[in-house]
Amino acid sequence: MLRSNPRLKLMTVSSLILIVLSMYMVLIYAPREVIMGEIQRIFYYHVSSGWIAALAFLVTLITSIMFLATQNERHDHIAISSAEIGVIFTTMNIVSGSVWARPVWNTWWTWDPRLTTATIMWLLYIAYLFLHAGLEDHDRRRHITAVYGIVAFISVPLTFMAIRIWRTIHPVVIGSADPDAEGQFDMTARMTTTLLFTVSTFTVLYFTILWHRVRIQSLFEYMSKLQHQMYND
Amino acid sequence: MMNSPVITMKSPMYNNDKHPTTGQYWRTVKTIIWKDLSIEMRKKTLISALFIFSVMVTLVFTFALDLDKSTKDNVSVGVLWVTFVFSSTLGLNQTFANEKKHGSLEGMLLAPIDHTAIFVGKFISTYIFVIIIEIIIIPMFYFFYGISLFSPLFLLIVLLGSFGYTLVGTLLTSIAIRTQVREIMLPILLFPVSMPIIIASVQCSNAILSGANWGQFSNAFNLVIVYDIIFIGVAIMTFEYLIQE
Amino acid sequence: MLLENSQVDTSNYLLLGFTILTIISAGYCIYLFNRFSKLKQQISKTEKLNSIHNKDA
Repeated sequence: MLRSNPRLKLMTVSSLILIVLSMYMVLIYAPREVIMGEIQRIFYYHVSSGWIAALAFLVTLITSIMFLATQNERHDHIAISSAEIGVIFTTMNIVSGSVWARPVWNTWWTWDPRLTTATIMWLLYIAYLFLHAGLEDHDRRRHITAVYGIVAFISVPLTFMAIRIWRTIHPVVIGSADPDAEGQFDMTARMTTTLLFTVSTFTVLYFTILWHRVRIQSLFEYMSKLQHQMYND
Repeated sequence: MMNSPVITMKSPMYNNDKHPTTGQYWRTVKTIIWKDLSIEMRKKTLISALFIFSVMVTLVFTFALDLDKSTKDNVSVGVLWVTFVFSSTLGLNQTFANEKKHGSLEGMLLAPIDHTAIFVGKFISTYIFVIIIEIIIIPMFYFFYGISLFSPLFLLIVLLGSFGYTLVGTLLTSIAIRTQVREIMLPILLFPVSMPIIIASVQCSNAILSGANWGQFSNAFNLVIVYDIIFIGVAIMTFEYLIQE
Repeated sequence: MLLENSQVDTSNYLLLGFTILTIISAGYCIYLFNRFSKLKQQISKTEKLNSIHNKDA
């Protein structure tokens, strides 16, 4: 279990290369947006991290359901790992949005429906991590966090739909936007390419980190079992 | 101890059949509700404590927000919902604490009954307490803030909103009692999950009380209903996994 | 919008944003790495203790 895995190494190296390439795409290949200027470039990472956060929470939902159905510990490891990574990506999403909003909306933060639902989602999965840390009995913990992982997912489609249901100032770049939206722009072909590239980069990055994180989780459970054995012999 | 629950459970109306009929299921639910209500009718601690608590929350808000006539109209519905949320959370903490204290939850789990019946029973009894609290709070708000809250549509949204809140609350309380710090864990788990329904209920209530037409709050109203329906399904499907030892 | 028809230079904000994103992601990677190496140590220690324990028995 402790030996290094060549496939994981390959994935780690390729995601590092992809990140450097995506930096090139975002900073040089993509054109400068006329009205917003340079700050618009953060949009590529903002959208990508948002999408990956949603993907990560979806993975948590699916593995939680699968854990309850099959009782296979492996699914529980993936669920908790994916939720933790999702929280990190949501943090990146919120921070990058906030930095963008300062020059464009003239404020760091506003209680717009999209921002509110994203915050709720973030808090929910932090509560999930808290719950995971607060339960000591491992077998019981797995069932309980799986149920909470299912319950928490309600916030994800809500966050996705928020800019489409309510009146909001948050721009909708893909699909039709609310007339109140501020910071709206039309994507050129180069912008679309760059966005697709960063989203794919982040997807590879997500699966790489997930793999590492699941490994750590399995090692952790293995160690708990070892210690348990030792004290009970 | 002649009429302890264990003896009741073994009485002829429960056979050891794994699949009880609908009649038996609802009898179990009724027994659990009746148990909670009769405990409360004898002790009267929960309702009176919640009453005092909600009066105090109202007063604290009145002074903290320094309410004059114009701000009163804007914030009173929000204050009303916050009072509901706080007192329901306290109530939720209490109903399961009683079960835990005397080990009666284990007793119920050992009985040959469908486990979701326990959930439905606990949920309905908690919901009854919440409704009683709301019956006390709403006239109190009319008294303190002078806004008329007695429109049927508003009362409907209060019932639907607190339905969803209590439903998720009952589910998450059965999670929170497993942790070391359960009194703190319940709000941490519950507030973010219930935020959509609280926000939608507040929007609806504001719209209804300011006399808006249906089109202006139909989105929020639908969200409340969808939320209620989703969590009925989630609760019934997952409760089994939460309480098994 | 604040920037409508004006050519304000927003590259400082971009730099700030990139710095924060780097700090978050690098911080998380370092956290994972630390956790991994700590676990590795603990496991080899526990395994050693276990084998000694088993020999005695």
